Amino acid sequence: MGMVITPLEMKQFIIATLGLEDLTPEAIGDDEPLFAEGLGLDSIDALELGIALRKRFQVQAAEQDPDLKEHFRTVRSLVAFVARNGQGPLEAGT
Amino acid sequence: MTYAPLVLPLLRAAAWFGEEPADPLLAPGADGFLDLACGEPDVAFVDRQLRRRLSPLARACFHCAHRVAPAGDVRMVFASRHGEADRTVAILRDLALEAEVSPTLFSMSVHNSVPGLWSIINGDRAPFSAVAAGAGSFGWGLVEALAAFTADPSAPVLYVYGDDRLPDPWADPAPRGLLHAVALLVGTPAARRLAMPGEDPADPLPQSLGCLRALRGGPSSWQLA
Repeated sequence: MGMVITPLEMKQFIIATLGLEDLTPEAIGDDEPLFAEGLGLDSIDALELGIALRKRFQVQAAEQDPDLKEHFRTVRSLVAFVARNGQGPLEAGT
Repeated sequence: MTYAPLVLPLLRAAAWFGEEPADPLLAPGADGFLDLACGEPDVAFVDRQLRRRLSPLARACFHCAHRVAPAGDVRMVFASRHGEADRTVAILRDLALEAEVSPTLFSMSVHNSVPGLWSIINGDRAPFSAVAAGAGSFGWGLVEALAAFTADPSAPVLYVYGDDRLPDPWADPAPRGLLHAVALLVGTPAARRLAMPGEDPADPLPQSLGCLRALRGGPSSWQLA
């Protein structure tokens, strides 16, 4: 079970979810770290993003998954994560 | 029983309105003491990563606070009748629908989120408090600010008040519910001294607007002393 979305769609989703008002999708690199030294997102953003991914793509993220931090590292890793674990949008939009 | 009115020593003041007030005494303009503006709040001084978390209420409050705050740490009293009601209602909706609550909404919905964010943005370690006291929130917040200043008059106290319209289904039908903020720097040597009236539930004018009208030299239950 997977869910194919593009890196551009993931960037738009991140910008909309976190209210990154001054940012365009083009300004986020596919391999740029999202947290701390990269885009500068913080732990509240991580929680917010996790809930939004669950609502939108029904991603089943196991909290004890030792690789969870790695899944959330970049746009590219999130796209791959959703491709493996997503179950299609509950809320329309694609 | 009557009390002598409380007199506030003020160093400077700022106000911001989401929409320009119909009252000509509250027209936009700055006179060196009071800076009154409307339209887009100016929060460019806030770091981008924190700015995105600011609600319309917080933006209004920061616009005003930034214009009157002295350099360095400053004690702060924040007052609001309804605070971050939009965020609280959004959380209540999610709970009613048994949906997951947004962590951002949760952390930013508390009544002291405005002074809390202010302290983070400015690296300000001075104490602050947050007041909510019903329709009289503006006045009671000022009493708190005056008490703090009286306890230690060696440094000014920053008073910031802000309120927004209540969201549906609790929208306030009265014109009291307009998005606006006021910041007053309580301290000496005072540029203006303002005598504060007692709380009068029959007064149709919100206390914040009565205060600003007096600072503009107009008729008001508030009096320049």
